[in-house]
Amino acid sequence: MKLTVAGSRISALFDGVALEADDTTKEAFKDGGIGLLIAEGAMSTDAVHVSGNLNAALSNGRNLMARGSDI
Amino acid sequence: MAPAECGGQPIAEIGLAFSAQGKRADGKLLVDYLRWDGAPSLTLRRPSSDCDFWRIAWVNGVDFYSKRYAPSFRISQNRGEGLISHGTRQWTDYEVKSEIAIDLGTTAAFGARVQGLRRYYAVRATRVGKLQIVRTRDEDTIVLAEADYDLVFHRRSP
Repeated sequence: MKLTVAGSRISALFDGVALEADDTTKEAFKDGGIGLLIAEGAMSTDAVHVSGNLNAALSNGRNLMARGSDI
Repeated sequence: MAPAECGGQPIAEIGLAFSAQGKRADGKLLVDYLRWDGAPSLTLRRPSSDCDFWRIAWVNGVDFYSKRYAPSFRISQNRGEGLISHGTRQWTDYEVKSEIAIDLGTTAAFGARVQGLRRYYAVRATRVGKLQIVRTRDEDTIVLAEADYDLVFHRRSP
C-alpha cells in the first residue's frame, strides 16, 4: 500500500489497484500526519515507511500510477 | 539533512556532538541555529528494545491498540470508526508505504494529512467491494476516487 500526498494530488496504490484524486476545494487538507483506520474490525501492519522527500514522493507517485495498470 | 533511523524509537531531543583527533581541542563553536521542520523520512515499527515510547508516540483513537501482538501495529474497533495517528501539521507533502492485513471490518484504511479523528484523507477498502480515496471532514465523508476491489480478510496487502 502506498499513499502519496503532494500539493492537491492524492495518489494511492493498494493491492495492485491504483487511484488518484485532485482536491482543490476549500475543504482540502494541506497538512497533517499519517493514520491507520478501522471500522468495526481489526487490522495490523508491522512497519510504516514515511518519505518526506518531496521529489521522491512526486516521482514515486507518478511511477505507482504508471505501474498500476500493469499490476 | 534527514534524521537517522532510530529503530522505530521516537526522537525526543536533538543536539550536536563534536569530536577531535587530538587529546584536546580549544576554540569556540558558534551555532547560528538548529531546527527541524517538514515531514521526515523514517520507518515506524516496534523497536527491538523493551519500551513503550514508540507506541505512545501515536495518538490512540481506537478501542484496542495492541502492545504485544506480533506485527508492530494492531488496532481493533468495536463500533464505528477508530484510528491511530502519528505526525504533525508540519507534514505537508510525503509518501507513506506499508503492508497491511485486514482481519475484519466494514472499512479499513490508511490515512494521510490526518488532523484529527474526523479530518483526513484516506485510501480505504470497503466490505462492499470498493477501494476509495476519501476526504473526511467532520461529519462529511466525500469519495474523491473509487474503483472495484475485492477485500480479502487475513491477507497482507502490499
